[in-house]
Amino acid sequence: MSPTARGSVVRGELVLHPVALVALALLLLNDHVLKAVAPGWVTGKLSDVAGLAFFPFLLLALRDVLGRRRPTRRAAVGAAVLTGAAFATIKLWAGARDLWSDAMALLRFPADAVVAGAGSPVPLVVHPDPTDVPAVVACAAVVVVLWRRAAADRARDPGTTADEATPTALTPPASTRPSRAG
Amino acid sequence: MARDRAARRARWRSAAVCLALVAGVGATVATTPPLEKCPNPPDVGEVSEFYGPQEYDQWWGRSTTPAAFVGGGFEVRDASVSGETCVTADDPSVEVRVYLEMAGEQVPAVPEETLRTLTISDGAGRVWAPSGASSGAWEPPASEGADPYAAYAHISFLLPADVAGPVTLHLGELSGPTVDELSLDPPAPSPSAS
Repeated sequence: MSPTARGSVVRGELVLHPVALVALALLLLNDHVLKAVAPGWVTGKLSDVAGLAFFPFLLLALRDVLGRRRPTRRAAVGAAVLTGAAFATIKLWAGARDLWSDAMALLRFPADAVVAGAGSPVPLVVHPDPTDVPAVVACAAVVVVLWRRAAADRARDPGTTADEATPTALTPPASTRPSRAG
Repeated sequence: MARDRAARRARWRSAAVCLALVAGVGATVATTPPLEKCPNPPDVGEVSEFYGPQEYDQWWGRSTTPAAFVGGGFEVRDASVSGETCVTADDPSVEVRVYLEMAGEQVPAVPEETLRTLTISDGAGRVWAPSGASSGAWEPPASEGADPYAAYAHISFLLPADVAGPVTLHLGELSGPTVDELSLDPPAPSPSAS
């Protein structure tokens, strides 16, 4: 994401990229509206694709905010691979499904207790379905975004190396850049 | 003025990032749906404990005891029983399924007439014959490196909601030299160490 007009950089702003926001909006819309209105194969897969596209952006943004580490292309690949591998494992292996179900039940418990009066973590449904696994290709969205940004950064500043191109605008504001003294 | 605008823009963007992160984490956690609660959970004692807790709409399944045996010319390597929850006292019958997986290759399908000799009895002396039976023979792997398909048998029974323990599957023509019945009851809770 480009820096704001005068160069202030906001940590975690990768999550505001249009691809991330559209994926998040689609996930929320599908889970809370479309599945109820038109349950079926399409709405079943749409959550997987939207969630897998969005989650690596979330990981990188949290890493930026909490770990003070800017998103890089390598980190994007790592986030995409981690997300895809975790999803595939949960879909294919009962042990991973149980772990995920228990973890999500615990995370949901405070909200379930307040909203639904649950007295204990509510078991979750994770359907084993190998046909969901191809959706992991959506994880590549974050890699594509950061790769294109890196290319754009290099085009703007040919002196930037591939490793230095960190697409969420580490380019410091013009007023603070050291001058290229001849 | 320009610096004020930039600072304000940065604050708005920071707020937007916070909102997106919270929404994102919430969406991730909420996207896995919880189990549906049974619409008419029975009172305590109305439905047999054989069917397990009747709080959430889900399938239950467990291995029989023993879970492996030899009989009727077949070696069963895994025997299990399963059914659905949300049973009510008003249900005229509840479908319970027994699944037998055979060991070995080139195993033929168990004849249906053999499966029809299996019966279930309960602690009240009632006996039920199968309501349905099907089986399949061993099949080679669908592709190189894949696992073959084991021979199997499915037998369905329609039992009452108040089936009394112990619930036993009598093997009929699948009986062997050492085993002629399987317990379908839930395993007894293991005593806690003191």
